[in-house]
Amino acid sequence: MKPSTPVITLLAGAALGVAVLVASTLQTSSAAPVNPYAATSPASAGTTVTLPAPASSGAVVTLPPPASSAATSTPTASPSSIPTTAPAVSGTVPPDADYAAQVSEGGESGKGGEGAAVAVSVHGNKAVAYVCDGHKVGHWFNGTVKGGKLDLAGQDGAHITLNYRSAKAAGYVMADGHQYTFSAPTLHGHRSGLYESVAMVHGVKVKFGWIVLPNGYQVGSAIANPDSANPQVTPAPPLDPATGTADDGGVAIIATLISGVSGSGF
Amino acid sequence: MTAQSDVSPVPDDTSLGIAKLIVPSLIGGLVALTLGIYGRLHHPTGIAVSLAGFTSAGYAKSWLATGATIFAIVQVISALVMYGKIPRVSAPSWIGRAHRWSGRIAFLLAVPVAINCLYGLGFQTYSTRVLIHSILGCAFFGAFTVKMLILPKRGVPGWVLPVAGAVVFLILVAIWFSSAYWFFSTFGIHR
Repeated sequence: MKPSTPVITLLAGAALGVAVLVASTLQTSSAAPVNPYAATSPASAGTTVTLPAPASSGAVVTLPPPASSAATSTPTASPSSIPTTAPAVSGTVPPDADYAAQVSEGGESGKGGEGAAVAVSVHGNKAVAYVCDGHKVGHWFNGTVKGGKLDLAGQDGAHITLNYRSAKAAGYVMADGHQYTFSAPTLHGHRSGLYESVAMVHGVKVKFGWIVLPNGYQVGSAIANPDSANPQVTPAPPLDPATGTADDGGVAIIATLISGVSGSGF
Repeated sequence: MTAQSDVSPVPDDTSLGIAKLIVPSLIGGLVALTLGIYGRLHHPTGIAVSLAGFTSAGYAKSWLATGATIFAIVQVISALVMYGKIPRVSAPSWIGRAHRWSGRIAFLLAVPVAINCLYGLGFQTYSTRVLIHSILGCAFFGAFTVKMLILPKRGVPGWVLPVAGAVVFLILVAIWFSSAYWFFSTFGIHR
């Protein structure tokens, strides 16, 4: 018995869907061979790619490994000044929580971080963290909570350590020669938090990240060519948290809230 | 057009006709569930395959969805003509073909939009609009599957197909309002 034409229509649609899916996988994985999320996409293997560093430094830059192993790896180009005495070390990082706060620079509270903020979202044992100053700093961290501790390495030696105590997360971030400390409360409002968007803007892959605090304070950076050895960080256009959108010079940007509480973006 | 059913003539039994909807409904439900689970589990990449001629994926999707909705409107009108529901219009001989092809085009326009959404953005819940859109987006393909699978079945009650078609159409229109209409009114209408 021949399949009826409606079934053929359905199969044609399914075939088209699979074709678009395969094309998407190929296009995004070739455009982003070291995408830290590649480990979760079925068609691309989660391998760590090590690129040669610029000749001037002579060091080796290790790009972020897949999320599953990020917490265990040590950044090869980490600054030598990682503090060994973390504040208020106690408690395990709970699952499904979001934190965000402005940071202080230099490890001393009171000294301003020039508007920089940090956000950490934990969903189950998966964690996404982001630090940016809306100017030249924009760093993403992906990894897992191990033994109740969160200790993530990002690109170019960036590093974040988080300690949890009584509904607050405190920790250190090292990024681009800056050393920030933070003490971030648990977020509850559904507009505040960490927003992410990856878009092609005039042919260039750009990863946007915004941190929106409960008091309405917002800071965002845009990272052009985020997977290359030399990503460029610029200020992000303002995000409208009501719609989760931004307008980058006429290109519509739709952001996703990265929320450990709801699991959105994980 | 439709294949001959190899079942012997079915007695006019409503319960038997309704029973024929069970398997298509289960398959449709499975389709919707599969899309939703994939959209939830796959980490959104932000970008999917880009379509030439559009400034961003949002515009590409919005225009494709608008095209699908326009063809869906053709679906409703041609169906009304086929059922003789439009006064003083008798169904021309080509109306069946017009109905089938407008439906196929609408469906095939919607597929890349859905894959783009599921791959790039995923099933999200962070606002009412996004939640409604995510649910209806998955439901649409389930409902469409049900409608297509009951299409060649003989002996289903006469109201089933119009109701299924209306549900598919209404879901698509709601999807359009929760995405393309929102997108155009937020960012303006251009390519």
